[in-house]
Parts: sequence; structure tokens; C-alpha cells
Amino acid sequence: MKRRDLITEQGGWGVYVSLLLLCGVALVFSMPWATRVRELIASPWQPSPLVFFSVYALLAAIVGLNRGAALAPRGVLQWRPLLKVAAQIGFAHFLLMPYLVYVRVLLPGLEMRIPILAAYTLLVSAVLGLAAHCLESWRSARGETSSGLRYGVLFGLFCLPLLAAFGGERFGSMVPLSPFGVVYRLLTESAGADLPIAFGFPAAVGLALLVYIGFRARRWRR
Amino acid sequence: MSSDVRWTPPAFAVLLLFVILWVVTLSAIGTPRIEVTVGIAGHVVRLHYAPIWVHVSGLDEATEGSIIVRQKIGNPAEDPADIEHVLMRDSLSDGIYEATVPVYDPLNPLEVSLVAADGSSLARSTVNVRMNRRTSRFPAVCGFTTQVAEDAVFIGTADLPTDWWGFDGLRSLWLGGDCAVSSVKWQSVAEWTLAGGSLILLTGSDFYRMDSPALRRLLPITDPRLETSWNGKHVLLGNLKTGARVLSGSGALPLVISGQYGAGHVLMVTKAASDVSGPEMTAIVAAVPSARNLTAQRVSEAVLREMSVVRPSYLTAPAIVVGSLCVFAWFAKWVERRPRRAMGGLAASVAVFAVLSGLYTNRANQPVDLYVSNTKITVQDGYSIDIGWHSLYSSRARQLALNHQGESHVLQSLIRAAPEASFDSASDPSTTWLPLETHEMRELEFYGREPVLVEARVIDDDASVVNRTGHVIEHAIVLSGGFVYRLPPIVTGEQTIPLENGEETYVYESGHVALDLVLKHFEDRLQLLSRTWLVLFEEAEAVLREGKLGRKVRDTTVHLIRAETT
Repeated sequence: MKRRDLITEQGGWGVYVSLLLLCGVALVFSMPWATRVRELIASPWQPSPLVFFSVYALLAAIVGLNRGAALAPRGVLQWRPLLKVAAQIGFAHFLLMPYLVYVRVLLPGLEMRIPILAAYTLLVSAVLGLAAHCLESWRSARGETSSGLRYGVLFGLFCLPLLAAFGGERFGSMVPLSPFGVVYRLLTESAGADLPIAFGFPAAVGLALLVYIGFRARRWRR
Repeated sequence: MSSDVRWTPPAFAVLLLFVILWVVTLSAIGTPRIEVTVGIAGHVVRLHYAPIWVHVSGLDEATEGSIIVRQKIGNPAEDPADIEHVLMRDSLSDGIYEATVPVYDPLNPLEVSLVAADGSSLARSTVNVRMNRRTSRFPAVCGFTTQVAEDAVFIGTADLPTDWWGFDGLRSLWLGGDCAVSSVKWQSVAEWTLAGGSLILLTGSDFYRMDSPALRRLLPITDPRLETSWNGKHVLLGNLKTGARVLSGSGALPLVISGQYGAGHVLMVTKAASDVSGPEMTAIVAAVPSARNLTAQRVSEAVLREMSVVRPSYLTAPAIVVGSLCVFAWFAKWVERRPRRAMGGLAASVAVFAVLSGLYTNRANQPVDLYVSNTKITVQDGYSIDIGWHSLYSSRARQLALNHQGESHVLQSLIRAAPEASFDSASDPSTTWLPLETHEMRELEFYGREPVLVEARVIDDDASVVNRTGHVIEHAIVLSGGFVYRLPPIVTGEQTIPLENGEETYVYESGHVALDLVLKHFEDRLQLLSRTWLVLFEEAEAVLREGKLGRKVRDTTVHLIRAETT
């Protein structure tokens, strides 16, 4: 296998272009648009980095799901395809580096939160890549696709904790389980208390998946 | 002798009473006390300034401390806004301290405290102005007792405030009879009239009791002289000033002469108050215009609305997106044929874009969350007053410390521009602290007085200007005879500038929003076109960064200086 295949195998081009384009559109729309204060007063649209980072988190998660599933071999779990998944997700994030640097213009005094958000988004993307890899491998062995299941996971992760939070204050602690919730809290509040939950949850899921994959890969080698 | 004193019960009672009085007197000595008077003769109007006199007694020696006035806006049972004004922070001793504060809600009492430097309360007084509150401005009469209006208030000279904005609650001020006004109070009367006040002077035989340089400036006549009319009464006559006119009476024996001083009106009654008959007084009352202070609100708001938003260029973000896509397209094209070069090119391009983004997104391009327009209009005609306005717009909730340019405390407009807006504020004469909500616009008014630092004289086709401000004034024009003459920068010292290339005022545009608006809105009030004025314009803009917050401030000052023409 050539080195370039690491990042281009299984239709990576479209994913990268989509990511660059859609995050770019979100970046453009995140910028303050008003030229004069009268425009700010008339339509106080809050030019918010929330828009960019929410789109970035969602698209990075979709990239993870897409790449994880696209590179999954049928019915088997191996380490080598997983390395490709990791490489492609990392490459996608690398392409977004200029955007991530530029968006700091909207976060005066909060610049240090950008690397935290980037690291968090990378983690979520990687964990979803692992999950999609496992799901696709399992479903393809039965001649089925994991598409519905994967996007169900995406919906569950992004929306269910937020919907639960609407149910009352006692569910408020579930907000940092959703990447949208993490983005909101990191950019609008002091989110120090939420960070362990925000990072711990995907890290724990990722670790569990790695243990599972390791276990399955060893069984397959035997 | 002592054996003659019989300690009967009444004698014991008298002795006991003396002892109690002695103890009470002793305890009173050395206990600081304050007595407070608010308003002109105790009368106040909501959302207008009112004078306040605090009489401090019982301070054995000069004490470092402050006098603080606290007010509440709204129903005390429903979380009212708290307004605090520090009247003075100084070495305090026994005496009367005068200041002027805005009155927000006279339904609630004002609490006045004498506070030591360590924060302990030395004395406290609660002033209930509810019964003497007025729903609108009212006339005040000093020196005579004729009822000029149903809502008129009779005052003494001691009730006249020293700060001209203390007259803010008055619709008109009537002076005559035995009202002997000091020169300091005459100054504040003149300044209030200059700002748009309505002054009625009943002269006649009382003229010489009232006479002062300030009065002469206010009178609509020159060379005043007393003459005796056919019925033996004294009448004040003279030569009409430019723009003055006789409103009542005959040309030979006028009763009321109207004149304008600054934006205000002066009605001179040629007779003494005691000589004016009932029908004559009715005619005079009918001719009295209401006071209407000049305001910089429209100018300040317009300047705020026209301020440019601090933001990155519109093109930068799309350029980064398009650049990234182009680099990626180039990479996709070459990665098959020359993978090593393509990978290197991509990595280098992404790194270069990231570095350029980092360099571009410096503090100068970071959006600010607060826009402030500070507008001050100085009107000078013998005396010099400031009319000021702060307009603020905040896109983020924050606590704000606003430094004043004027001498008065700021008067907040109570229009709720955001649902959660709070009018809580703390203020001293130089700074006001207030909370701002997200997307909130706030308006604050202030007044002041200025020393006369620039004087102008226009004779024939030359303007003679004396500038004692210590700095060069870049933008200056002279308005004379319906024409506008642009002047070169006014340097310090005295200079004579020829008036050339005049433009007709209706086609003149300065290119500065604030100056054009001042000329437009003040044209009628100050008779800018029919009189001769030197107009100076100063503007400065700065972006200030305070941690993660930033504010853009534009200071605009317009000086309207009445030029002498003789």
C-alpha cells in the first residue's frame, strides 16, 4: 500500500472537501456582519463562534462515522484499518487548522479554549470512528449496512442529552455528554467543572471499544 | 441658706427635668447630624435634576468622609433599582453642602447618609419628597407674591441653586420685587437661560436692587434707564437689542419686551411687580414661553449609530475558505503523480494559512462589545455651558465604569432597551458604574459649565480668535450673515483670520455627522443664521481593550461661541 492511500482510500476526497466547504460556510456566517452600529441595534444578530464550533463538532463526528465505516473490513476487526481511520480523521482536522486559528478573532480572552475544543472534537470524532468501524464490521458480516445505526448513534449523542436537559434541572448534568452542550458551555460559561465529564465520557467509550476490538482481533488471529 | 431649700416633689421634678435636658444636650453635642432639603423650595420633578442642600452639624473636627444620596426606582416591594450618588468625598466639617442630583422616582424617599472614610455611617436622614413632587415643570416666583400660575411656587433667593442644571425642574423663573440675587446665583440663572430657560424679570423701581453685570447681559435692552410714567410709576426703558421686540404696551411705553439669550427667552417687564395690574399680569403670563433645555441626544445617538463596527474584513474568512479549497484541489491533482511534493506542498500551505490567520487575527481586528458616543456641546455667550449626552450600545452583558466629561451626575433615560435591563447605578461626579445587558442601548444625560477659553470677534471681513485651550483646534467655521466660512486650524494665542469664500449655509456640509446635526437642530434655538458664531469641532475615537472585553469610544465636542460683532 502506498503512503498516500492512508488518507485517500475509500473515497476520502469527498469527505475532506465537504468538511472544508461546510466548515468554511459556518466560519463565514460566524463573522460579525454589521458594518455600522445602527445595523447591530436594528438586528442584534450575535455573531457567535458557537455557529462555527457547533458545525465543526457535528461535521467532525460525521467524518469519524463515515471514515470508520468506509474502512471497516467485512466481519473482521483488525488494527491496520483502524490506523487508516485515525490517519484520515487526523488529516481532516489538520486541513481545518487555518479556520481554527482564524476563529480566535471571535473569542477575545478565550483563545485557550480553542485547542481544548479542537482536542475534544478530535476525540469525539475518533471514538465515533471506532464505533462506526465496529458497527459496520458487525453488520457487513450479515450482509447489511450500519448506516441507520450509525446515524442513530450520532443523533443520540448530540441530541438526547440536550433533550433530557429540557426534562428538568436534575438532567442538567447530562448536557456535557452532548458535543453541542460542551461547545455551548465552553464558549459561554466557565466550563471547568464540565470538562472531566466532557472528555471522560468519550474517552471511556473509546477505551471500551479498543478493548473490545483488541479482544476480537486476538480471537480472529487464533 | 441651704436649710431653707425644701425638696418638695415639684422641686425634684424640675431638677430631674434639668438633668435630663442637660444629658440630652451633652449627648447631642459631638453627635453628627444632617438636615436635608431637596428641590427648589422642596419641589421636585421626576427625571429632572434638583438641588440638594445638606446641613451638617455636630462634627467636632474636620472628618474625611462622604455624603451619599440613595434613591429607589419602582415599587419598593418589587425589587426596585438602587441609585446611589456620592455628592462629595472630602474633608467634611460643619456647614451646608450643596449639590445637584437627578431625581428618578419621587414616590420613594431619598436617603442621605454622612459616611466616614472607613465606611461607617455617621448620620443619616430620610427625605420624603412625595408630597411636594410635581408631575411636570413648574414656575417659580422670587421676590413678590403675585400668583402667576396655579402651580407656581414662591421661593426665596436661598432656594436658587448654584448649579444651573438645578433649575431643570422649572418651567419659568420670575424674578422681581425684593429678590436680591447674588452674583453666583445670577450666573446660574444666566447659564440656565443660555441653555433654554425661560426668565421673566420684573424691573421698574426694583431694577437697581437687582442690577448686576449678568442681568445687563440678560436684558433685551441696552443702556437701561428708569423713567417716570404719567402715573408716577417708574418704568425701565432702553434701546432694544438685536432680535428683541415689544410684546405688550406701546412703543413709547412698553410693558413687556422679549429677547433671546442663547436658547432661552427673557421677558423683561418694565414695571416693578408691585406696579403691575391684574390684567397686565394676565397678559404677561400669556406671553411666557416654557423652558426647554437644549439636548445633545439626537446628535449623540446619530453619532453612535454611524460608528463603524470593529470586525475583521468581510473578505478574510471567504479568502481563507477558498484558499484552503484551492490548495486541497491542487493536492488532489498532484498527489497521484508526485505524492511527496503534493504532501509537502499541502502541509506547507496549511501551515502558512494558519500563520497568516494568526497574524491577521490580532487585537485590532477583534470585535468589541461596547460602543460609546460621548457628545458635548458647549454654548458660549458671555457664560459657557455644557450640554452632554452619552449613548451606549453593548452586545454583551457587563459592568461598566463610565467616566464623565461634565460636572453633573448623569441622568439615565429610563427607557428599557433590553428585557432584563437594570437601572441600578452608583455614581460620583466623575464616574458612574452601571450594569449593561446583552444588546442593550443606554442613554445618559449630563450638564456642566466651562471656563471661557476661546473668544471670537468678527469685524468686517475678519475674524479675531483668541484660543487659550492650549491645543490646536483643527476644524473651525464662522457662521455670519447666512454664510459659512471655513477657517484654518485655530492655534493657541490670538490670531486674525480673513473670512473668505463663504458658502451659503443651506448648501454647507462639513463631512462630520455630529457637526452637521448640531447646525441643523440648533439653528432655530440659537439663531445660528441670524447671529454671528464661531463653531469649533473636535472629534476623537479610540478602541480600548479591557481583558476579553473591548470598547470603542468616540468623543465629540462642538463649541458654539457667540462672536462679538462690534
